[in-house]
Amino acid sequence: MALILRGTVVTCDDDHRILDPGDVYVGDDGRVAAVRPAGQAPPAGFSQAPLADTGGLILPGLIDLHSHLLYNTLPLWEAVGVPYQHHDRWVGEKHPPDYSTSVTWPAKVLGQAAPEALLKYVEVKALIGGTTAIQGAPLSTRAVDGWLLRIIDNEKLPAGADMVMTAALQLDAEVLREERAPKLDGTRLLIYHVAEGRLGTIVHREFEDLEPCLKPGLIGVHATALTAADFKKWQSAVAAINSEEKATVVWSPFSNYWLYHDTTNVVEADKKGLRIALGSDWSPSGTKNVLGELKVADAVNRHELGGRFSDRELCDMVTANPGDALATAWGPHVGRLQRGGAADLLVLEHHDPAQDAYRNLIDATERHIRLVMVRGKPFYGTPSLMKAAGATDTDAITVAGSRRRVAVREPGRTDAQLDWPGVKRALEKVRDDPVAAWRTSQDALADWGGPLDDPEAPLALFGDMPEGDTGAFAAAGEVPLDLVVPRMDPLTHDAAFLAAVARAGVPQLQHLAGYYR
Amino acid sequence: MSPTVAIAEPARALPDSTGLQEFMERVEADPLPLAARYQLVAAARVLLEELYVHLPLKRAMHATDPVQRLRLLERRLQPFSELQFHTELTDVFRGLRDLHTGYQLPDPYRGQVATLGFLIERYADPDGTPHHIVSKIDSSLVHAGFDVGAELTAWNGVPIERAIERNAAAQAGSNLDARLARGLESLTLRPLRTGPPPDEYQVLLSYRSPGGRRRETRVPWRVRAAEQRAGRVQDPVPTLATSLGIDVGSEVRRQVKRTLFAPPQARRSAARALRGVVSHRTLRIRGRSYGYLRIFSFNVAGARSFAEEVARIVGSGPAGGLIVDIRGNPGGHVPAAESALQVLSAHPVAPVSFSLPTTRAALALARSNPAFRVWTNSIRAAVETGEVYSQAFPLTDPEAVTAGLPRYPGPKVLITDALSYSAADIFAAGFQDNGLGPVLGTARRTGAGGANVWTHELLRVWLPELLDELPRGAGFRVALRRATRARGNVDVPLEDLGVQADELHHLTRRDVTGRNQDLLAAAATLLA
Repeated sequence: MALILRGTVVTCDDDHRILDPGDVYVGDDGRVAAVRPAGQAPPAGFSQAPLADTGGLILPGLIDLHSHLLYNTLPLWEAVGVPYQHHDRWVGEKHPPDYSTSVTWPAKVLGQAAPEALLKYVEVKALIGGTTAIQGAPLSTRAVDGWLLRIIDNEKLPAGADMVMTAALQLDAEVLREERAPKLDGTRLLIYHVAEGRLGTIVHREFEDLEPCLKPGLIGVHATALTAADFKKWQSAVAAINSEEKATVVWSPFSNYWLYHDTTNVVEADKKGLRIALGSDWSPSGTKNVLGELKVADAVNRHELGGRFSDRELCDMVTANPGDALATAWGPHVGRLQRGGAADLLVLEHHDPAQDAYRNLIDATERHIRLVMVRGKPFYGTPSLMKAAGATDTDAITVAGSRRRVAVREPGRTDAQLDWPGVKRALEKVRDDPVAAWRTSQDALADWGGPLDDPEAPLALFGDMPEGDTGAFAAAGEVPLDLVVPRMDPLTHDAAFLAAVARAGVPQLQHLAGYYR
Repeated sequence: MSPTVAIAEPARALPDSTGLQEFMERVEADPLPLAARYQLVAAARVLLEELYVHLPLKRAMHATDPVQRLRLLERRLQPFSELQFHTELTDVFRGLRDLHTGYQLPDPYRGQVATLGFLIERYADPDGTPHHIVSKIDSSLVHAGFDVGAELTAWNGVPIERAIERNAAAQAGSNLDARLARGLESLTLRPLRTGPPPDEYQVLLSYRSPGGRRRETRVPWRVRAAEQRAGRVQDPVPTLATSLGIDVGSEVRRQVKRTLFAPPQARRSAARALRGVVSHRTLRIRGRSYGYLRIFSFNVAGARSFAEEVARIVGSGPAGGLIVDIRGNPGGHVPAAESALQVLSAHPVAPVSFSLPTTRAALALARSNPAFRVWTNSIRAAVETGEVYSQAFPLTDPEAVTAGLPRYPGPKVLITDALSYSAADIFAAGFQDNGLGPVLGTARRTGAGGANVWTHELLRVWLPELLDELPRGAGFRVALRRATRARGNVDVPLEDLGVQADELHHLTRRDVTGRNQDLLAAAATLLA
């Protein structure tokens, strides 16, 4: 329904206007019809639209440009071998808690025994941190384009085509040169993991392989092993094609420090003109949502980078910057509140009136999120704002001690029927007896001889990360009989998460707890 | 010259079926658009050039160039009718003589089978004279002495032996025995998903009734659904399975045969339920008891549960010997076959190994699917080594999968035929290579399908940039990983070679019309 949201509007537009108070006009078509100072005449079609006075900050929905959704029900993996040299090292971790037992098997079983529940759970986990678009779709038997959020990999904007290529596992140099590079024609994106590891390690070779793809549309994830010269080369290559364009690097400082005790040289990247966006990465080595990652970035900025980035620039890393990066394929749709853009937005409590809007966002925790809308529809928020925004068919959810409502079931979608209690029950059922749940799912898959895109076909999700040693069982369609699926990773950065961070003892991550006190 | 006899016709139609003519009129009312046909040919080229593991072998062994044929088909596509198009495209794949790899016709062919409603089996007299007997018939079609035991002499005016040979030539089986067996089977049963419908709407049959009278009858082709689920027509083989080795056409035929001709209690069980794929009984032969394990198919969901069932069966049978019969088994879940083999052996069995082609698409698949990681390096290296196949690795470790299950240590014999295919080939190879016992064949060789087969739809999950969606539920299956044998036959491929029987038994009339008494007696002799 058409809706007017009033509050302090943090547009993140080209001029970074802040309208206080301002009105955001949300159209029936899921787009922003206008953003105007409060009190101005409404645009056509809004004279009868209900007005919801949020009393808070209205921002573009946050964009998480790097995750791996299949794995986001899992808790932090406290691997003993840290710091690893690079991404191929932890895959082979065999000391308990080993990689396959901790990560591969639980994700594999949940992805096939409870795929809808898994996806909805991890989408809710992202939503409650204000996320409206997230990268990292699992491979699947049919594309799930986001029951709640926009899933960037599968999103079809603006012309109904999927213009986003992704690869978490490295492609061969020939494929990059001959197949991917020609597709980067200024209309498509390639979100690609590159050079994830410590400086000077072999993974730098991945950047050399990627050279033909150093074009507008390439979004490089991690790039932790890159030097200042590499960033210069990358940005120069992009600018040589389009002088207006910037290369994009996705920064996941928590995950980098967790696994490698080091992170991307974002100062040099910034100096060389690259655009920086944040990604929470997967939950075995990442934060719970990109709002949490923003705090890690803030802490690293303050304590390690000498405050190189302003608060506004940090906030741009979860809004305007990823939005601009995605604009290569999607046009200017997300990441900024502006007329014609997607009505993906976030209402945040102005919890520290002494601070500006950007600092309020950086310091906000899950309990400060008051409303999240995607495509103009309310999916999560306080009971009053959800009601005011016209939400129906919602379920109660308690987040960081606060009452909220969440809409995980969309009427009319036959392929996604679970409500929030149903999501949790389905996941717990798998946990109760993972072997039985696995076999039931395999029976259902074996019993289906129809097309995989049929809404009644059993959905199966597959990991986009390395498997490690799955021994003799994987190809046999079996799972280890002693398999344990850990309890679902709690939705918020809770005491257990912060205790794990404390146990790890990585100095750069110890500041995180301070944001959640 | 025989006296003219009136041509009979069955009084009733096969239940739950449609006339072929009516079915074809429905098809022709909504033809596949030209653009969709181009799309299918293009997809076929990508699959054969980039992912078909047997392409070098097939080019050499059968002097065929399917890729060139597809290029020509692309160029000459325009004037073809829809049926001609399906026939042409099917024929390109048929030329590979590989039952794993095929074109799957779109809706409304999907899940449908054309049948005459009866089966024919062949036996030979001691002097080699062949006989072709109606072995099963739907009760609705019994008429004018046309019943079980009737002996066919001509088919549409062609002597039956010649008709079978001609039909066999149109089959994809990779050795002569297999083609003949399929030529015989497809005389009366044709899955429309894997091949075009029969040309004729009805068949003129000359036969001798069980009472010895010469007669003629005209039996119509009928079309019926092979399998349905929730009102939807389905393929009888999972769309999504990464460890399959199966001849889909034979599995369709098996399931239709089961639906039409199995005893009522067997018809009721789910097609892929364990009781639908295995049966067992105790045989008394020459005063001794033997276990008889019949494995109709390996088309099951998982390896462990299948191995558990096999272990349970053989554990409760007599210890004096076990006859394992996999005739007509079209294959299925490869690890299930190897795990079943493991519970039949007191010692660890060496599984077969699998290689990928060393093409760029295979490398892309190995890069994007973590389960293929072990194959990656040798595919990459092929640019320099020139190898056409990657290194070979087993799919799984049967000993680990069957951990804790009892083993059957007693003597065993395996019965095979020319229709024992793929996972059944692999089972037979493992039986022989690991020394479980002699292989008694009713044909010289097994069906000779040695690969792990994937659907186009499943490949698209990992190769979305390479493989497009196909129109109207059309599909392809492709042999992706090539199987090679173990132990004394290490590196010997199964494709086109199969497993050679240690002993041969020619089926007798008693075998065909009775309960295989002579065959089982021959097997028991090998156990003695």
